[in-house]
Amino acid sequence: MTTRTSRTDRQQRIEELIQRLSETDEALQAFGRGELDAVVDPSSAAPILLSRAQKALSESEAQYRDLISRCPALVCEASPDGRALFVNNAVRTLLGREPEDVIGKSLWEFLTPAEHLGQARKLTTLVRRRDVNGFELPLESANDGLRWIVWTTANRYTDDGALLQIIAFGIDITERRRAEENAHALLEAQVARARAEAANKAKTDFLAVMSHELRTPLNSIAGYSELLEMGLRGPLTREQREDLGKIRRSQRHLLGLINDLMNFAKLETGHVQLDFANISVNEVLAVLDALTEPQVAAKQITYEHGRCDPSLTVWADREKTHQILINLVSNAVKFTRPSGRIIVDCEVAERDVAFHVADTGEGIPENKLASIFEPFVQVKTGFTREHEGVGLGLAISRDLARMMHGDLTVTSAIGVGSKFTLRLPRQESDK
Amino acid sequence: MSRLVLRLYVAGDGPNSAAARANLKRLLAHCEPSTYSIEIVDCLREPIRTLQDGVLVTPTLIRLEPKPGRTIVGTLSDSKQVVEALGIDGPATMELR
Repeated sequence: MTTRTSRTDRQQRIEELIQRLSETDEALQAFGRGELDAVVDPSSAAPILLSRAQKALSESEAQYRDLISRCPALVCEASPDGRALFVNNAVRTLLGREPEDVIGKSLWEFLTPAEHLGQARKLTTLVRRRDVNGFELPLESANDGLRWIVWTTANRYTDDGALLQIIAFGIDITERRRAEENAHALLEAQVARARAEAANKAKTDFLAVMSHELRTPLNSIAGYSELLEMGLRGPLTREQREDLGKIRRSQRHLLGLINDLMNFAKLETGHVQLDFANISVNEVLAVLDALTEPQVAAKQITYEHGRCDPSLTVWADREKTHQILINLVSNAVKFTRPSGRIIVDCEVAERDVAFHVADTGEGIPENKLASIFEPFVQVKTGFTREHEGVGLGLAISRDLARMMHGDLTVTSAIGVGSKFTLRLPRQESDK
Repeated sequence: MSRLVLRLYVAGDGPNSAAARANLKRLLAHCEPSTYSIEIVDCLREPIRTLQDGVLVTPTLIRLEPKPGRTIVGTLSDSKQVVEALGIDGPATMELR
């Protein structure tokens, strides 16, 4: 019995030994074929990865790491409370920050500007409940201001659905947003300009119609006053004749103002016809003298003028040139006190001729120099207007000068006087 | 025929371990699922258990049932050997045809 047992034991031990040997042999053969991944060290119970397998593992790991680091989108791994565990290279390119600056901090709340912090907290809360898709939240870049980023997550969960890790992907949409904003602003500007143009046209059309309507009754006032003056309705007393004179003067004055308005409206609507010709500068000045002498004499102002080379001409519309210069001299007379002086002369340059109209009036403040050419502007506005007129003369004059390829400018000193300069080209413009 | 009980020892996602898993899955594809069970043990996670089970290298497949136990080391790419060791035939026949 004992013998049998011991024989059986021995046989069993031999079988086990053979079994172990064959297993060892099989392990050696598998190792030879390169089919093993790991050996567990019996002394420390630590698995030792075999070099080839290890190499393959680390190669595939390196490949994934490279893939993630090249990804232009932000790739972040965060703990359930939102603290970053890993961020890829995009944190450098997109936000100008080093990964170690961000690791351990709440990604969204750490880099979110104060005014968007509410949104950042909302995102952190949302992400804990379920994945988000396309949540827009800006982050503060270290060197490039605010970067708008659209976030999508693909979180890791445990088998029973608890959040294990937040995996967030962020794509920079700053440029897209900027382009959208620009497009929007451009559209708004276009709409605003179209509105302004429409409003301006409405105003101009109104002026054109109104000034025409105002002129009609004025013409009948003139006609009937003339009838009375001529005595066709019976003899007049001296007082009646004087009153009629006042009516006629006021009528003429009002007509002048309305004509200004009409001219301005015509200029604005582009209904002005210019008749260009070579016109003599001396002739222009002579006509000006004749027209302004009565005004000057009435106010006891000294009027001086220079003469130019008789052959000098400008390429312009004769009538409009007269209109501009008469307007300048009338203004000078209007703003110069009795015993003041007005000097008109001309100056020749290579391409153009300058007509200067200088006065010894009160002058124009520096800050008003630009606005006097705007329609309806007089230097002093208030309840008491010392100087009559609607403030259109200079606006019309400069528009006309520019239409003739010239310009109208002014220099002035308070208490000394003003000097207006009209420049007109000597030759027909190539343009 | 008694139920087939297998245990495969692997080292994480190592290439040979992955190959062994894939080969085993392929060989068992045509077996009725109720006739066998497989447990996978990762020696990187459970090195002590691996050692206690007498397994020193991975991948290693052990047939626990039916007795006597059998051990196959490697990627299980030699279908014929594995089929003989496991005592299954279905897919092996197709495989060897």
